[in-house]
Amino acid sequence: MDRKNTSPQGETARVLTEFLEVAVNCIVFLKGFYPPAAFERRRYMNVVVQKARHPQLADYIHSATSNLLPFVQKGLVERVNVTFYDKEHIPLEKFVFKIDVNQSYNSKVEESDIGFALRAFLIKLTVAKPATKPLPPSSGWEITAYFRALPQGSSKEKEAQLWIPTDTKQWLQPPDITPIKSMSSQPLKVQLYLEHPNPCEPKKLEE
Amino acid sequence: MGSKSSDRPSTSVSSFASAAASGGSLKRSRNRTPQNPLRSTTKRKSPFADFGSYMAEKNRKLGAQFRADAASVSSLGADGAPVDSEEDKGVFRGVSIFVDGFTIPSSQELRGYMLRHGGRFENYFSRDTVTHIICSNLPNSKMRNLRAFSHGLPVVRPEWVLHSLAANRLLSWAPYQLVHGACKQQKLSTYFHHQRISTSSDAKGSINHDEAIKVGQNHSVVPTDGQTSECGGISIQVGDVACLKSEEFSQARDANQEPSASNMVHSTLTDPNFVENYFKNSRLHFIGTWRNRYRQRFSKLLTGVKSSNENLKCHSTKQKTAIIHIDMDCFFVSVIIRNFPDLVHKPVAVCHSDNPRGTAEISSANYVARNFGVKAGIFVRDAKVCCPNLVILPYDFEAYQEVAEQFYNILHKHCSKVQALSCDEAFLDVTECDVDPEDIALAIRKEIAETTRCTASAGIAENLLLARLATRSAKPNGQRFLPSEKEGLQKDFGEKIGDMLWNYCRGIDNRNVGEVQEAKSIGAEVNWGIRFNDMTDCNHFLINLCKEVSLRLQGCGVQGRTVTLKVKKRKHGAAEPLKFMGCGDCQNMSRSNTVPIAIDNEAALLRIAKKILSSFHIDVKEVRGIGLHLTKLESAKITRKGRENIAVWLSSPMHATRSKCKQISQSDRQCDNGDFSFSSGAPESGDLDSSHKLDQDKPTLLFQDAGSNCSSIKGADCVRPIRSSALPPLQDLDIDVVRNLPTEIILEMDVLYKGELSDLISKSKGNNCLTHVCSSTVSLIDASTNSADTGISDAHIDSVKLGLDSKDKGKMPICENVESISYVDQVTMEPKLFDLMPASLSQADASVLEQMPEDVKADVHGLLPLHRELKVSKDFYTCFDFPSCVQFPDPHLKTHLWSGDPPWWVEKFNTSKNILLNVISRHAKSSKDIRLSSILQSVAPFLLPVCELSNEVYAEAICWLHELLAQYIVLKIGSDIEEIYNCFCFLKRISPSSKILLLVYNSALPLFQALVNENYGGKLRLSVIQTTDE
Repeated sequence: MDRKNTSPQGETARVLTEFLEVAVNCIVFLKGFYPPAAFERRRYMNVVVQKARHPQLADYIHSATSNLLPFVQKGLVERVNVTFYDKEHIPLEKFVFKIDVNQSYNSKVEESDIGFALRAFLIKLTVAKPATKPLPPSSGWEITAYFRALPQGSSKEKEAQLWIPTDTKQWLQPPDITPIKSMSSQPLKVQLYLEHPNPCEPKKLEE
Repeated sequence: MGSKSSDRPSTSVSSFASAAASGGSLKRSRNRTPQNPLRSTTKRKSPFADFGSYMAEKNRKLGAQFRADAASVSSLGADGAPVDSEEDKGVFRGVSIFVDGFTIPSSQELRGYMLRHGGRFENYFSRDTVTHIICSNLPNSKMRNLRAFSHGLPVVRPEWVLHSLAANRLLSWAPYQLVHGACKQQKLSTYFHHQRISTSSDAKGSINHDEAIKVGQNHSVVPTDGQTSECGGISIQVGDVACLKSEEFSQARDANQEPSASNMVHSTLTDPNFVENYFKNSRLHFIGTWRNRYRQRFSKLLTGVKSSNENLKCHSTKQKTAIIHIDMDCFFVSVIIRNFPDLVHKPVAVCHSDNPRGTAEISSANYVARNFGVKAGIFVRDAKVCCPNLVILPYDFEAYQEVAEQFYNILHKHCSKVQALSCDEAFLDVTECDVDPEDIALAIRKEIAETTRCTASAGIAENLLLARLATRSAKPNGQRFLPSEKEGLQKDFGEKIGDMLWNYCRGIDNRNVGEVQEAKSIGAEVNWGIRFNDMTDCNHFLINLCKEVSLRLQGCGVQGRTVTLKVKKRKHGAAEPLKFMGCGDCQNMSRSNTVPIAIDNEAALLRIAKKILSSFHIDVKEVRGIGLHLTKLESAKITRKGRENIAVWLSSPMHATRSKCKQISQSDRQCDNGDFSFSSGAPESGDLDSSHKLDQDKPTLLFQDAGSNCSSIKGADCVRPIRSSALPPLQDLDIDVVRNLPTEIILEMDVLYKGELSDLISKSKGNNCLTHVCSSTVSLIDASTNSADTGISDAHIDSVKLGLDSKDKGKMPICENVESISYVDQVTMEPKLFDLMPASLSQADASVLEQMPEDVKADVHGLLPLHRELKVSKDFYTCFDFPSCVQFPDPHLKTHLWSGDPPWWVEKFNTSKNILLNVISRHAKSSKDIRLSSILQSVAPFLLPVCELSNEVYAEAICWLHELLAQYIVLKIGSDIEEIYNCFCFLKRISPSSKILLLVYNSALPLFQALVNENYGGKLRLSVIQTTDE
């Protein structure tokens, strides 16, 4: 990869998507969605993280996050959700990465600076288990990206078509938010928080 | 293939040439000269000249092949078993068939017949060569335009070939003509539905054909199926068949010839078996007893139907019902005359007597006869007058029985819900079938016609009555679908209006008087006089507009979730309108924004309206009109109440523990009034009052108010577990772990446990360790505060308090353990640290003071008055009762406390006369990062209630802290909710022991939640802390 010609946004986006991949791996591990044996310990940014061993799972996470790269770079991606839902496809828990890449930032970006900030997320994630809720049997999960606007232009359309509209049902009530970690630096702002269904959500989501 | 070829412009299909006209009946040839087969009747010329010639060649070859085959067959026949005689060979002489589509038997079989019996078989349709088109199914389009398809040639069902073979002569094709409707192509669904049935009947049919063919080849018997042959004599046939079929008929004939004899036979006088005979010949009896026979015959099916009926009752009410009423056409006649095809178009009636002057009653007449006025029930002689040619036939009850059984067999095959009305009439409920009821009726009728050779009519409608009426109009041999009027109306006018029209024309109107329609949207719009010079004008207008809308909403008592902003923008190039200050030619723009929680307040409306307006990106000078509307309205009462309930519910556990806590503290107080102190962070004003009195009696004890060490030491066992719902019980803490925590954390935890933690540590560890902790804590605080350059050094305060504490404890009369005093003195300084100042110098421990450095001593003496008056007034707390505390007089709105580095407020607080603010500012200066959460954590201990400060100081501090927090929220909401969340969590945690922070927390929380809601579409799990005031 030619690092010299990349814009600060491109560099940031690259770091961010890489981070997202690791973070999604960690989240899936954290939720205990798959048996622990499906993960292996790795080191990322000098933090111990878990990485999926199953090629399909790893590939799904990798492709989902790495395909976001162009959109993150353009600042189109507003949120990336890791949604856990029950068998009726009603979300039970969402890990929300709220992303803001400053498009007008021009100075050079030190990867290590962003990396250092993102590291805190991974550390916080490893201890975020108490904030989460246990999953019922036969639940599922997915990675969802929320775009600020639908991508325009022919070249991107192809990439955008890899993403399909989600059929996960929406909550009717505003969800409960539990912030986990926030970082705000230039040109990248990332916030990670949990969303849980409101207790007065009409359908009984929680037993 | 043929059907396709007729569409093709290229082939020889379409040329109109004179017919071969070899068939006896084919006299339809047109006087047209043969045309070039390549010329197409379609408008454009065939571009496929080569292909056309190819086809001609192919046809020629196929013809040659066929002739060769025919020759070989006939030669084979000469040696082979089925010998065809010379006359026989000519059955299909001159006939040239073209088979279109799927037939039974298949086109190849038909070809075989043609081969053997002198006919010709064309693979490709040509008007020149083909004489008959054989097909059993035609697509709708071809049926509709049959003439264009057939070019005037007869389109005949394949049965014609078979029956001709069986009859061993060429029958008239007329009865076999393909009838519209009868051959309607089956849908795939019906095909699957009836697959089993049709295959079974197919098998049967083919067997029959085979037999018929064999019979025909042996040419030994008269045609069994009684079809009219063109040349066959009618009378003979009738007679023959009649002889074979109906014994009674011949009897009746005899009777007709001798009326007197018949009279004698059929009277009770002479006939010993009169009753038996009577009933045997009675049609009414047949009908009457038929039902029993039917029951026996179909008993199994009927019971099945009944049970399923009950099961499905609920379903049928939901679904659109479809009822078929099916009725055989003049059953009693047509069963008889099916064997006399020549009688079909003649007036026929059924009666037990044929005497033209007789008084026998006509029981049934066919439609031809009915046209003459012959009706069921009139005497034969009257009928004969109406219609002299009336043919009267006798009953054939066996045939009736047989046909009725066939009829019901068919019905039960197609539908499980059959209600028999009579031997020839029934209702079917086809609601459950997922096939179009019309198709079902068609299929049933077709099958009935094929099986019984009698026709039936059907009416289809949504209920029994309409179905029956429909049948009446469908007769004879037809079917009628009566669509639901309601549905038709609904289709034309939409569901609601259709329903309304249907009801209204029946005089039904279910509206009630006085139902006021709820408003769907509330808003205000101004399209006149809108001229803005700049953004401030526009904003000013928006503020007023939002105010207006907010007032309207509140006036209606509703809140809305969707805010729609409409903007009229001057069209490009549009001149100033004729109407003074009017909007003129405008481009309308509208955008809406939906928020998760309904709003009606002005500020929120303004915020959203501004956001939408800015999203239009328009020059405000171009704006000619603005409208603001709210939709998705909810009743404000309900939503507010609901929310309150949730809030109450969420906070209820805390509330419960709180009240418990209060109870216990009260009981504490009762048992030992000398040892009273505030044990709960938010005491009631009444309590305060009483405590105030107590305080005056025992001023030394009053000093204990915040830490409440006295009571916590004494009543530790009962107070400890209910201290706070968020904290684990003190006993559960692992002291070893706690001890090894950083001192700041121990400090904070100790605040939460109200000093008990340090007690515990002290008890478990003993003196040395504790002094170590304490001294290290003190030194830490010293280090951190030494940098402070203004005001009193914290170290001074600390040490002062240290002394004071020890003095205090020493005075305590209730301390049983004298030994413990020495370390209690030292340990409890930790909670005491957070008291800003002792009330007066008289409370300070003189011995400690003495040990202080000289300069510090001087400071303390200078700061502390000898006697400071205690001013804890009831008014202070009541004036900050939630929620009234949210409404601060706010003069600082315009200032940006967080701008600058260090933030502006640090300096502001520092220079403030308010001691609380000074402390905060100092901590902010000393700490490296200016994050509020860390500042709060370090400064919180100093904000615990201090009684000796005046109301004004409190109010000012709260006001500024609120403002500080509010601006911090606004600043950070977009980028760092974690930080704000941390602040709030900390405030919440510390709030039981600090009234100030509780109030700050409660006042700032709504703003935080609103902003989170706006930015993140959700809310945090933080709720307003209920104060213990009622």
